Amino acid sequence: MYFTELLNDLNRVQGQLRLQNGLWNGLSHGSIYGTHQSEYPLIQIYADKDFLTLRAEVPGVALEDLSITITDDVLTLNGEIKESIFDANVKALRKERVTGKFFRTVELPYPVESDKAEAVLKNGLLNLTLPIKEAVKPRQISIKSE
Amino acid sequence: MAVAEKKLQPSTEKTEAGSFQREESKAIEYVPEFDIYSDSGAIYLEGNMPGVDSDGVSISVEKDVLTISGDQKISIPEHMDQLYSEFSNVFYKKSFRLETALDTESAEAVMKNGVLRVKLPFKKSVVKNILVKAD
Repeated sequence: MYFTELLNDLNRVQGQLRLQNGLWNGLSHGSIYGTHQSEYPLIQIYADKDFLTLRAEVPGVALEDLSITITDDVLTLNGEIKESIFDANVKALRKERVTGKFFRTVELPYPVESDKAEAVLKNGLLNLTLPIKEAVKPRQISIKSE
Repeated sequence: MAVAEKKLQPSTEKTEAGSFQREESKAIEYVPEFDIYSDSGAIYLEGNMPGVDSDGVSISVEKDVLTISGDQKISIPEHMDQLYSEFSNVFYKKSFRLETALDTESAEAVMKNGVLRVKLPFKKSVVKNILVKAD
Protein backbone atom coordinates (compact mmCIF):
# COMPACT_ATOMS: atom_id res chain seq x y z
CA MET A 1 0.00 0.00 0.00
CA TYR A 2 2.76 2.38 1.00
CA PHE A 3 4.67 1.53 -2.15
CA THR A 4 1.66 2.21 -4.39
CA GLU A 5 1.24 5.53 -2.65
CA LEU A 6 4.85 6.45 -3.34
CA LEU A 7 4.64 5.30 -6.93
CA ASN A 8 1.51 7.32 -7.51
CA ASP A 9 3.09 10.48 -6.08
CA LEU A 10 6.21 9.87 -8.12
CA ASN A 11 4.22 9.44 -11.33
CA ARG A 12 2.43 12.71 -10.76
CA VAL A 13 5.57 14.64 -9.94
CA GLN A 14 7.24 13.12 -12.99
CA GLY A 15 4.30 14.15 -15.15
CA GLN A 16 4.47 17.71 -13.88
CA LEU A 17 8.24 17.88 -14.36
CA ARG A 18 8.03 16.49 -17.86
CA LEU A 19 5.45 19.08 -18.76
CA GLN A 20 7.64 21.86 -17.41
CA ASN A 21 10.72 20.49 -19.16
CA GLY A 22 8.84 19.86 -22.36
CA LEU A 23 7.53 23.37 -22.39
CA TRP A 24 10.92 24.83 -21.68
CA ASN A 25 12.55 22.91 -24.53
CA GLY A 26 9.68 23.84 -26.75
CA LEU A 27 10.10 27.51 -26.07
CA SER A 28 13.87 27.44 -26.38
CA HIS A 29 13.55 25.85 -29.82
CA GLY A 30 11.06 28.43 -30.90
CA SER A 31 8.42 25.90 -31.80
CA ILE A 32 4.96 25.61 -30.44
CA TYR A 33 5.04 21.93 -29.61
CA GLY A 34 8.74 21.59 -28.98
CA THR A 35 11.08 18.95 -30.17
CA HIS A 36 10.96 16.87 -27.03
CA GLN A 37 8.05 14.67 -26.25
CA SER A 38 6.62 15.50 -22.87
CA GLU A 39 4.76 12.79 -21.07
CA TYR A 40 1.86 14.90 -20.07
CA PRO A 41 -1.02 14.38 -19.57
CA LEU A 42 -1.02 11.20 -17.48
CA ILE A 43 -2.99 8.41 -19.11
CA GLN A 44 -4.69 5.10 -18.49
CA ILE A 45 -5.49 2.47 -21.14
CA TYR A 46 -8.19 -0.17 -20.83
CA ALA A 47 -9.32 -2.80 -23.32
CA ASP A 48 -11.77 -5.56 -24.01
CA LYS A 49 -12.08 -7.53 -27.24
CA ASP A 50 -13.93 -4.77 -29.12
CA PHE A 51 -12.80 -1.47 -27.65
CA LEU A 52 -9.86 0.45 -26.28
CA THR A 53 -10.49 3.13 -23.69
CA LEU A 54 -7.94 5.84 -23.09
CA ARG A 55 -8.25 8.23 -20.21
CA ALA A 56 -6.22 11.33 -19.56
CA GLU A 57 -6.13 13.84 -16.71
CA VAL A 58 -6.40 17.28 -18.29
CA PRO A 59 -7.51 19.70 -15.55
CA GLY A 60 -8.07 23.25 -16.75
CA VAL A 61 -8.21 22.33 -20.43
CA ALA A 62 -11.29 23.66 -22.18
CA LEU A 63 -12.98 21.64 -24.92
CA GLU A 64 -11.94 24.09 -27.62
CA ASP A 65 -8.30 23.90 -26.49
CA LEU A 66 -7.96 20.16 -26.95
CA SER A 67 -7.45 18.21 -30.16
CA ILE A 68 -7.02 14.50 -30.73
CA THR A 69 -5.66 12.88 -33.86
CA ILE A 70 -5.26 9.20 -34.64
CA THR A 71 -3.12 7.68 -37.36
CA ASP A 72 -3.42 3.90 -37.39
CA ASP A 73 -2.21 3.01 -33.91
CA VAL A 74 -0.66 6.33 -32.90
CA LEU A 75 -2.79 8.78 -30.98
CA THR A 76 -1.77 12.38 -30.46
CA LEU A 77 -3.17 14.68 -27.80
CA ASN A 78 -2.66 18.37 -28.36
CA GLY A 79 -3.81 21.00 -25.96
CA GLU A 80 -3.32 24.06 -23.90
CA ILE A 81 -3.88 24.82 -20.24
CA LYS A 82 -4.66 28.51 -20.31
CA GLU A 83 -3.83 30.95 -17.55
CA SER A 84 -6.84 32.11 -15.59
CA ILE A 85 -8.10 35.50 -16.57
CA PHE A 86 -8.25 37.97 -13.72
CA ASP A 87 -8.42 41.75 -13.53
CA ALA A 88 -5.15 43.61 -13.86
CA ASN A 89 -5.02 44.41 -10.14
CA VAL A 90 -5.09 40.73 -9.13
CA LYS A 91 -1.66 39.50 -8.08
CA ALA A 92 -0.39 35.94 -7.95
CA LEU A 93 0.90 35.02 -4.49
CA ARG A 94 1.75 31.40 -5.22
CA LYS A 95 1.73 29.28 -8.35
CA GLU A 96 1.77 25.52 -8.31
CA ARG A 97 -0.36 24.73 -11.37
CA VAL A 98 1.42 24.36 -14.67
CA THR A 99 0.02 26.21 -17.67
CA GLY A 100 0.91 26.21 -21.33
CA LYS A 101 0.78 24.06 -24.43
CA PHE A 102 1.33 20.34 -24.37
CA PHE A 103 1.33 17.39 -26.70
CA ARG A 104 1.70 13.69 -26.23
CA THR A 105 1.77 10.80 -28.63
CA VAL A 106 0.67 7.38 -27.45
CA GLU A 107 1.28 4.16 -29.32
CA LEU A 108 -1.92 2.19 -28.95
CA PRO A 109 -1.73 -1.56 -28.39
CA TYR A 110 -4.00 -2.19 -31.43
CA PRO A 111 -4.89 -0.28 -34.59
CA VAL A 112 -8.29 1.38 -34.14
CA GLU A 113 -11.18 2.62 -36.27
CA SER A 114 -10.34 6.29 -35.88
CA ASP A 115 -13.50 7.50 -37.62
CA LYS A 116 -15.65 5.75 -35.04
CA ALA A 117 -13.75 7.10 -32.03
CA GLU A 118 -15.69 8.91 -29.35
CA ALA A 119 -14.28 11.45 -26.95
CA VAL A 120 -15.86 12.93 -23.83
CA LEU A 121 -14.33 15.65 -21.68
CA LYS A 122 -15.81 15.88 -18.19
CA ASN A 123 -14.46 17.32 -14.94
CA GLY A 124 -10.98 17.60 -16.38
CA LEU A 125 -10.91 13.98 -17.49
CA LEU A 126 -10.76 12.95 -21.12
CA ASN A 127 -12.41 9.65 -21.92
CA LEU A 128 -11.73 8.21 -25.36
CA THR A 129 -13.50 5.14 -26.70
CA LEU A 130 -11.77 3.59 -29.69
CA PRO A 131 -13.17 0.58 -31.57
CA ILE A 132 -10.46 -1.96 -32.37
CA LYS A 133 -10.03 -2.69 -36.10
CA GLU A 134 -11.82 -5.85 -37.21
CA ALA A 135 -8.71 -7.12 -38.95
CA VAL A 136 -6.74 -7.43 -35.72
CA LYS A 137 -9.47 -8.96 -33.58
CA PRO A 138 -8.95 -12.59 -32.62
CA ARG A 139 -10.87 -14.86 -34.95
CA GLN A 140 -12.31 -18.25 -34.24
CA ILE A 141 -11.33 -20.83 -36.84
CA SER A 142 -13.77 -23.64 -37.18
CA ILE A 143 -12.32 -27.07 -37.60
CA LYS A 144 -14.04 -29.48 -39.92
CA SER A 145 -13.85 -33.18 -39.41
CA GLU A 146 -13.07 -35.18 -42.47
CA MET B 1 -4.09 -13.37 -16.07
CA ALA B 2 -6.25 -10.51 -17.19
CA VAL B 3 -8.91 -11.39 -14.66
CA ALA B 4 -6.40 -11.51 -11.84
CA GLU B 5 -5.10 -8.08 -12.75
CA LYS B 6 -8.53 -6.63 -12.61
CA LYS B 7 -9.10 -7.90 -9.09
CA LEU B 8 -6.07 -6.00 -7.86
CA GLN B 9 -7.61 -2.71 -8.87
CA PRO B 10 -9.77 -1.15 -6.18
CA SER B 11 -13.23 -1.28 -7.65
CA THR B 12 -14.72 2.17 -7.58
CA GLU B 13 -17.89 1.03 -9.26
CA LYS B 14 -19.28 0.07 -5.88
CA THR B 15 -18.54 3.49 -4.45
CA GLU B 16 -21.93 4.93 -5.24
CA ALA B 17 -23.77 1.95 -3.83
CA GLY B 18 -23.24 3.00 -0.23
CA SER B 19 -19.81 1.65 0.61
CA PHE B 20 -18.35 5.14 0.47
CA GLN B 21 -16.36 4.98 3.69
CA ARG B 22 -14.56 1.80 2.79
CA GLU B 23 -13.69 2.99 -0.70
CA GLU B 24 -12.55 6.36 0.53
CA SER B 25 -10.01 4.83 2.86
CA LYS B 26 -8.62 2.84 -0.08
CA ALA B 27 -7.91 5.88 -2.24
CA ILE B 28 -4.47 7.39 -1.94
CA GLU B 29 -4.37 10.85 -0.41
CA TYR B 30 -2.91 13.44 -2.75
CA VAL B 31 -2.18 17.12 -2.18
CA PRO B 32 -3.44 18.93 -5.29
CA GLU B 33 -1.57 21.83 -6.92
CA PHE B 34 -3.12 25.18 -6.06
CA ASP B 35 -2.51 28.76 -7.19
CA ILE B 36 -3.21 31.64 -4.82
CA TYR B 37 -4.15 35.08 -6.09
CA SER B 38 -5.33 38.23 -4.35
CA ASP B 39 -6.59 41.71 -4.98
CA SER B 40 -7.84 44.40 -2.62
CA GLY B 41 -11.14 42.61 -2.12
CA ALA B 42 -10.46 38.90 -1.90
CA ILE B 43 -8.15 35.91 -1.96
CA TYR B 44 -8.63 33.44 -4.82
CA LEU B 45 -7.61 29.79 -4.70
CA GLU B 46 -7.40 27.70 -7.86
CA GLY B 47 -6.57 24.04 -7.82
CA ASN B 48 -6.38 20.98 -10.05
CA MET B 49 -8.87 18.33 -9.04
CA PRO B 50 -9.54 16.29 -12.18
CA GLY B 51 -12.22 13.64 -11.88
CA VAL B 52 -14.13 15.46 -9.14
CA ASP B 53 -17.49 17.07 -9.87
CA SER B 54 -18.99 20.00 -7.95
CA ASP B 55 -20.91 17.65 -5.63
CA GLY B 56 -17.77 15.75 -4.76
CA VAL B 57 -15.85 18.73 -3.34
CA SER B 58 -15.98 19.67 0.29
CA ILE B 59 -14.68 22.95 1.67
CA SER B 60 -14.59 23.43 5.42
CA VAL B 61 -13.23 26.04 7.81
CA GLU B 62 -12.14 25.28 11.33
CA LYS B 63 -10.74 28.17 13.31
CA ASP B 64 -8.15 29.60 10.90
CA VAL B 65 -7.66 26.50 8.72
CA LEU B 66 -9.53 26.04 5.45
CA THR B 67 -9.55 22.49 4.13
CA ILE B 68 -10.48 21.48 0.61
CA SER B 69 -11.08 17.83 -0.14
CA GLY B 70 -12.58 15.71 -2.88
CA ASP B 71 -12.77 12.12 -3.97
CA GLN B 72 -11.67 11.22 -7.48
CA LYS B 73 -14.07 8.49 -8.47
CA ILE B 74 -12.86 7.01 -11.70
CA SER B 75 -14.48 3.68 -12.29
CA ILE B 76 -12.90 0.98 -14.39
CA PRO B 77 -14.92 0.63 -17.61
CA GLU B 78 -17.19 -2.40 -17.39
CA HIS B 79 -15.78 -5.70 -18.62
CA MET B 80 -12.48 -4.07 -19.47
CA ASP B 81 -8.96 -4.90 -18.37
CA GLN B 82 -6.45 -2.29 -17.44
CA LEU B 83 -3.48 -2.43 -19.79
CA TYR B 84 -1.58 0.60 -18.65
CA SER B 85 -1.93 3.20 -15.94
CA GLU B 86 -0.02 6.28 -14.86
CA PHE B 87 -2.52 7.41 -12.26
CA SER B 88 -4.94 5.78 -9.87
CA ASN B 89 -7.84 7.07 -7.83
CA VAL B 90 -6.84 9.63 -5.26
CA PHE B 91 -8.43 11.49 -2.40
CA TYR B 92 -7.50 15.15 -2.81
CA LYS B 93 -6.87 17.05 0.38
CA LYS B 94 -5.21 20.38 1.01
CA SER B 95 -5.33 22.77 3.94
CA PHE B 96 -4.62 26.48 4.00
CA ARG B 97 -3.96 28.60 7.06
CA LEU B 98 -5.90 31.82 6.78
CA GLU B 99 -3.73 34.61 8.08
CA THR B 100 -5.84 37.61 7.26
CA ALA B 101 -9.36 38.14 8.44
CA LEU B 102 -11.39 36.54 5.66
CA ASP B 103 -15.14 36.44 5.40
CA THR B 104 -15.55 32.70 4.94
CA GLU B 105 -19.32 33.05 5.31
CA SER B 106 -19.56 34.74 1.92
CA ALA B 107 -17.02 32.52 0.17
CA GLU B 108 -17.87 31.34 -3.35
CA ALA B 109 -16.64 28.22 -5.11
CA VAL B 110 -16.94 27.06 -8.72
CA MET B 111 -15.78 23.81 -10.27
CA LYS B 112 -14.97 23.92 -13.97
CA ASN B 113 -13.02 21.47 -16.16
CA GLY B 114 -11.62 19.77 -13.09
CA VAL B 115 -10.31 23.02 -11.62
CA LEU B 116 -11.74 24.35 -8.36
CA ARG B 117 -11.87 28.12 -7.91
CA VAL B 118 -12.63 29.55 -4.48
CA LYS B 119 -13.15 33.21 -3.72
CA LEU B 120 -12.63 34.31 -0.13
CA PRO B 121 -13.53 37.98 0.40
CA PHE B 122 -11.70 40.00 3.04
CA LYS B 123 -13.75 40.97 6.05
CA LYS B 124 -15.04 44.47 5.63
CA SER B 125 -13.58 46.54 8.41
CA VAL B 126 -16.21 48.54 10.19
CA VAL B 127 -15.16 52.12 10.54
CA LYS B 128 -16.36 53.54 13.83
CA ASN B 129 -16.14 57.22 14.45
CA ILE B 130 -15.85 58.26 18.07
CA LEU B 131 -17.21 61.62 18.75
CA VAL B 132 -15.08 63.82 20.86
CA LYS B 133 -17.11 66.11 22.98
CA ALA B 134 -15.88 69.42 24.21
CA ASP B 135 -15.85 69.54 27.93
